[in-house]
Amino acid sequence: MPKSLVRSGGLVVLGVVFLAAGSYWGLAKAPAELFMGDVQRIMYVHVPTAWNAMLALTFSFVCAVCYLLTNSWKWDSRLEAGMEMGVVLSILLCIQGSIWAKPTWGVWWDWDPRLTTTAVMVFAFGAILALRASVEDPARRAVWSAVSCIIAFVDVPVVYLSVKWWNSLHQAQSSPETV
Amino acid sequence: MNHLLVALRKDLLLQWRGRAQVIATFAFGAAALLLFSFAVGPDSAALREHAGGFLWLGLLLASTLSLAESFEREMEERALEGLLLLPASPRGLYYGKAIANWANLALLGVALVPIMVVLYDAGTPRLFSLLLVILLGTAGLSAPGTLYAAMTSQTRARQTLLPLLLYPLVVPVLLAAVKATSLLILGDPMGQLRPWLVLLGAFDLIHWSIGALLFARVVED
Repeated sequence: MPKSLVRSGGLVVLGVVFLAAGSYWGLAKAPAELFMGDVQRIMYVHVPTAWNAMLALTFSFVCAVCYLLTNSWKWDSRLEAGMEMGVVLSILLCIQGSIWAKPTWGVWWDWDPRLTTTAVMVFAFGAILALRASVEDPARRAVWSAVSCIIAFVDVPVVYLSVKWWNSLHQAQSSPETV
Repeated sequence: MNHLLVALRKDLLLQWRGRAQVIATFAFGAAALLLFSFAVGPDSAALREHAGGFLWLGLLLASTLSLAESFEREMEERALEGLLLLPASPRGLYYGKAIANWANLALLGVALVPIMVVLYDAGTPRLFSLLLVILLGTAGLSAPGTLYAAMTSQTRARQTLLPLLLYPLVVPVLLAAVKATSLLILGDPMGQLRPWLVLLGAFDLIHWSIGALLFARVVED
């Protein structure tokens, strides 16, 4: 058996073992939360999803920069893998968040900065996957997705900041004119 | 610098010769503003309250048309390849194109203001500030828009891809420009205009610098 197949097979087995152990721990072993009850258990999967989504998209940003510097196909493949993971995890993040929000907040969606930024992220990086799908020339596809990945990644903090202001600035705040 | 001016002159000349397209884009934006009022209903208070949002949505929808058009022309007879053979810097080409698109969009924004005032009864005495908001906001649309139009004009699904890539990216521009415009129309007792203008300025600064850095890689090959 080739070495790489053994390695990736081992990773899959390890993943399944961790998934089973984590599910048992979160669903059976941990006690129910005092106020929210069993609903809170979603956090055991929601928070890691959020971390891994951020990690995957940050990884693809690093790959994008490395691709533009080295022009090596390795980085393009890693970028695609990282971005697909990041988009799938961000979509899952929104779905899990909605499942949690309905029983606790009473609504499926709230225009909270973190939620809104995640939704924008899904569309921004999902669009790059759509761009990849419609470019045949592999060299152009690699450069263009690296370029758009860098732009989208740089944009995310600005989106977060603007949504945060949008959500809070309409409440009365003190300024030299009002004090 | 010289390259930039020559490229800018070329792009402005192209837009002047294709002014029928500019007028058609304006008609599209005005039609969008008319349609938004049907979505809300003839409630003049609600229309006035949302006028800023409608103006920027109309401008955003129309902007993808004119941004895409600006590179469609470069694709005819492989004009872009010819341009890249010239001893001109890609940076100059990018800024020339982006500034021409900015001028085009700012003009469109200014032209849509009277439509907004008439349809939604949403005037403001602070015309200079409104012009500043339009200039900063359209600059934020034109820098990333020009870069993405350069890419998508060479792809299969270009009509879909440009808005798909551009809209999520310009969420900060939309938020800040809508807020600032609404503050001008509805009054700004708390003095909240400045932070939104600063946000627009920061967005412009980021995208006008990375756009030029990355454009060379986008058009090379």
